[in-house]
Amino acid sequence: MSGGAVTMMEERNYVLEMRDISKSYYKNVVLDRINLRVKPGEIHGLLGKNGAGKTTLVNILYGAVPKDSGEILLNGRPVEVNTVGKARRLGIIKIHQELNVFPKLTVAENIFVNAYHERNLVRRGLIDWEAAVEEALKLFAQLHFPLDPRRKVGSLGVAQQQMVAIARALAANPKILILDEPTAALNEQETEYFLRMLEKIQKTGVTMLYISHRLREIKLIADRVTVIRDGRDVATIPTPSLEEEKAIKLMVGLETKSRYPNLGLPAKKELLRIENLSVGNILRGISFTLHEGETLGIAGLAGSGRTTLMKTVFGLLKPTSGRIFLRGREIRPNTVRQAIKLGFAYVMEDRLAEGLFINRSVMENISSINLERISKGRLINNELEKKIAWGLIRRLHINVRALEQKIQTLSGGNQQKCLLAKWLLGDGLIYLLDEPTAGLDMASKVDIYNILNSIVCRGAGVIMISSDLSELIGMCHRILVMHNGAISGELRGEEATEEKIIKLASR
Amino acid sequence: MFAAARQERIKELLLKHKQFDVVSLAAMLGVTEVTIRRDLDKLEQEGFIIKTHGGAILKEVSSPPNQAERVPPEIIEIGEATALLVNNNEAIFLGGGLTCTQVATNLQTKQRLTVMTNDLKVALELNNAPGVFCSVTGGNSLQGSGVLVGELALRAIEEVHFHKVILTVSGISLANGYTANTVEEATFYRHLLTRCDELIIVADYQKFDKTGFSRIADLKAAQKVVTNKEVGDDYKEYYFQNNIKLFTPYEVEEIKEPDQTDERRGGDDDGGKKLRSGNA
Repeated sequence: MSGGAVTMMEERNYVLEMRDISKSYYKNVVLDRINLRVKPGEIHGLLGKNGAGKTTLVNILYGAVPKDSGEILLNGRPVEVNTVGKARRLGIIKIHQELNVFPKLTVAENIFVNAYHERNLVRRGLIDWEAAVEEALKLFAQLHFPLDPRRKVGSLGVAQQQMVAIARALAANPKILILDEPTAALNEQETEYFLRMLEKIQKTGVTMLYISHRLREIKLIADRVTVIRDGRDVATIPTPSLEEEKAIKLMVGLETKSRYPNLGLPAKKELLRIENLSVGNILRGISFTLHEGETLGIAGLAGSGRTTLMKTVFGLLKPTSGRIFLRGREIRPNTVRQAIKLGFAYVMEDRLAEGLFINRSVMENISSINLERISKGRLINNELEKKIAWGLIRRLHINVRALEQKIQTLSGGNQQKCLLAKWLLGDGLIYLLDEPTAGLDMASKVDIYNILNSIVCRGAGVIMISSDLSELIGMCHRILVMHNGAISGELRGEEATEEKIIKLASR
Repeated sequence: MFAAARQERIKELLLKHKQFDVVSLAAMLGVTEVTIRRDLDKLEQEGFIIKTHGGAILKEVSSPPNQAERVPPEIIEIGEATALLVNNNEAIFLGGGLTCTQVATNLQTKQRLTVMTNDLKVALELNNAPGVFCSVTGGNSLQGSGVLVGELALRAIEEVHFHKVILTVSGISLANGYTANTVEEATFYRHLLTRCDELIIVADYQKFDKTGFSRIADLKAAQKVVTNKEVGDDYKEYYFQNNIKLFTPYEVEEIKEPDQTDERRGGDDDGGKKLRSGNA
């Protein structure tokens, strides 16, 4: 047998191959010649930290994101997957991270919502609901799902709703089913139930790509796992031989702490004290302090309550119990306005959806919280507004051509600087930053870190949520790790390692 | 922090326009009016301006005092930021040049700090600092600069070791590394690199993409670099990728102590006029 024949044989052993896939956004390299090989019928885990490139990789496979270079092979044959529709026709279906069901529709309606024709459920232009229910029952029998197709999806539990989403994907007869953090919204019991269901699905012969940064889950469910780091595949390992310590090491990679421009100045007096803060079941008994000149990091998986904590401190959510002290005096910020007056500044996670007025100009965005300063009575002083905006643009060195420029035309880094700029005019005392460098290129990250430096230098305190663990370790005095709405551990900057944080975040 | 750099900018504006109002100055510099008033107090004490109602005018007599010696704000802020990286009880070497002299200005309050330098101006700057022990290398003076180099300077560093070496360079370039204008300086600084735990390069953004006559070292030789935010993205990226800390100061305003006019109230939506901004 020649070498070429062997290669052919091997290729046939894989239902899916992704070869040398690369993808960059502007200067931000997300995937760097990554490779993935999946065997038919297996559950293949994709393991990696946030931002490692897992989601981008499957989005390319799913036709939602175009790749810059590389090759995709199905059963050894190269395919072009340039649209989601094309991916569906090839049998590649993705189940999204967030629950993606219609709560007001029935289970059957949800399942066949985009497959009425494929399933021959249309009679004379009308949908045959009885047939749909029967089809659904057939599907459930095959999968052993205990679901009633006539029930409204909104009346089901979260795990069952997730099953509906999966049943809908299976109704399209997929060859490869992509599950992107399917358990992010589920609690422990629901997760267990969900994983048992996946085992049943696997028996029907569907190949699955299972993305998670929960190691335990991957070990339970996957046959093999590919570890991804900084946009590259670092190893593919059969799960029985996957040790936790080794897996974390592979995910984390080399120490990069020294690249972060941390001034290393000591923190001073107590600024903010949180005592036993709870919000229903989402936040449970949170207590911590923040000092002047301190950068406090918050780590935790999606759904751990990180963002809820920020929103509660900022007055966007009402705590069910607990107390907040600012410089030793108890405060009760009930509204955002009060919080701002007290010196809180909040830079939200999703700058496009929440932080910025995306259709407005640079100037309007910068002055949006400083209106009092630029107004006389109810009129805005335009001259002064312009001067102030330019002043801040100069101070932060934001790359802007004109104040009238729409904010959406700026790069991510410059947008983030505009977002910070509006909080920098004088009054900020406590800065709450949710993923402040997510999606930014390296130069912009360095700028944001130095702006943070100047904020803490002036005696303000910073609380920073980040999924970039090396960034937290590099920039923070202390790191609180959250898990299931509570603080599962606290690490000093010098003693923190990514391994320790990952363990505390996912136990 | 960084108030001096801002005051220097105010001086420049006043020299150019002769007078200015507080509101416009605050707006142009992106700080609060309280901060500007404090700066103007300082400048009045220095005899540079006369404060008026709502603004300031340039004192006629204060024509730019020795234009040649005025330090640009971007170098002042590098001096302030670099001093934050130096701890008490350390032994450091501070090189020659205007930027290093600015670093020295900001080291005067340190305690039990040992500074060796090859610049006479740096030594003069630290002469009256009670917590700083300063020694000078000796060597041949480069004409007009007060910077010492040559065999005698090299001998002075034979038997010493520094926690940090802080140097200004003439050029920084991705292709040619750190460079100096004379072979003598480059030779001396190259020897220094073998005598320290950490190299900190201090240089304003205009030194980037330039190359001097004589090469000192590769860009990776430094562990920390202090410059201005205007430096090119390619350098920010390069240093980040190579695990080198890049510091670029941003102007900030000091936060006022809470005990003075702290009228902030938690449950009160109508807090009246602007409640907080900085004072000294």
